[in-house]
Amino acid sequence: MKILAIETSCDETCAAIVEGTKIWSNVVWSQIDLHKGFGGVVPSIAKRAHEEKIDWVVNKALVTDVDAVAVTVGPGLAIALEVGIRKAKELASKWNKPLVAVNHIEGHVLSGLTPEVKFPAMALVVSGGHTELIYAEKIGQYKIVARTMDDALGESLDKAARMLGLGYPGGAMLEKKAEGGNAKAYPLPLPMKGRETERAFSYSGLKTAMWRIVNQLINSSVNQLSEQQIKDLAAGYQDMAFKHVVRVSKKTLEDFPVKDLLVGGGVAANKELRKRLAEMAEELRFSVWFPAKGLYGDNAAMVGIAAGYKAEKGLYEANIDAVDREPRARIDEVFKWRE
Amino acid sequence: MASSIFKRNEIKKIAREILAMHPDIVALTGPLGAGKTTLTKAIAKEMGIKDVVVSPTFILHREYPGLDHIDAWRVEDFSEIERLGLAKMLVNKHLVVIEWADKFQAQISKLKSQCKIVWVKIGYGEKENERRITYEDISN
Repeated sequence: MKILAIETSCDETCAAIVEGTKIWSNVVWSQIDLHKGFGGVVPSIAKRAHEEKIDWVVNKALVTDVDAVAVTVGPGLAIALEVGIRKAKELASKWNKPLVAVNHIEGHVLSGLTPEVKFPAMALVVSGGHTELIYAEKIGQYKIVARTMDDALGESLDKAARMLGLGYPGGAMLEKKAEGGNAKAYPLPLPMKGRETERAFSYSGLKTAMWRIVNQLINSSVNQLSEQQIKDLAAGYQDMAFKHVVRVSKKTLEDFPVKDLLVGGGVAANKELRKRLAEMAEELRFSVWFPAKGLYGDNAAMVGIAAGYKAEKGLYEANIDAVDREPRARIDEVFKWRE
Repeated sequence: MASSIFKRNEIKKIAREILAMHPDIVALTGPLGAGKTTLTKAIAKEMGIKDVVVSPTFILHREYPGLDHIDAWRVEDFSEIERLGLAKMLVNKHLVVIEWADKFQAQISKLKSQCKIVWVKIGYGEKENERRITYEDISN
């Protein structure tokens, strides 16, 4: 079954055609390429106007006929979500095809799925807006077991990059600088050290410590960080941020009857994080699964993959009109209009 | 206007004092990591909100029962905040907390003829666990 999937939960306007885990097309209209050359420019809603891009993106993705339409309904930004939902409803009605509503996080969870993955499994979703560990009894049955209490991992890396005066996208710039840095040069704290059993992520304390160190250095020198200071701070920040996510993941994984870890979300594109998660998996004798290139950040292919499993079970929206955006949707709760 | 040095465990008191001014908008300013989201968490808790309040930086806006939490960090133009539904939030009598409000100080201040705005400045204190917090009802 071929599914046209649409995703507009935040910055990216995306459409894809997916058949099972086979991807026919995967179109992502992103702010990042546009802004990369201008250093530090941050995308905005004005430029995030999904309305202007949605038709182009969908038309480019439509390389073959489809049997169903799928769309992300949440979590995300309400005014962004509604653009994708409107388009999906319009096409489903026009073509007389069934509609599948998908949770954005389930897309990330299943973005690295292969037939070898055994359930129950654990999923780690790390992106600009989300940092969650999710226990997956099977595909479609989830329980959030750890969440961030403040900042998401990707957001935290972006803010650290901003403090160091790096460009956009911050996380990627930080990764690059960290490669040439000494992670132990500055005393940055490990978040929630010794409290891993609380099963929570927290990045605000690390962010505050970084701000203090950066300001002390700037005040005591020539009002500008040296290249080596930037590299050392980038390495130190990334080290603690990743150590924290790995420690909480490890503790949680040991508490559940799982042998497989699915990793998804934009931060999973970071090579250092993937390396550390792979090392952890080896130590615990786990299998760890990462998405294919192009499926880390927000995309519609992952939404199509998640929709495929729902379609298999006939989980279509009986009443298309009732489908609505759900900005605070949780992967372990049913959509409100179904209650 | 009140301006004081606070320790982290005194944040509850500040949240209470801000809420006692019955604001429609709480405008938060201060550098990265100063505690804007932490103060919003405390305000939400005082309002009886049970959800975990997390940073809205990436998503720009998060809604809770009776509270809208907006982050202007990634916003370039005030019209974008209006597009998020600011007018409707105020009509609904939700408390609207705006982080990085200084980016749009002029536009937010203009709203004081229609609603009550408490302007909060958070700065770092001398010691690690201290913050200098100033809050003021700018509507009068």
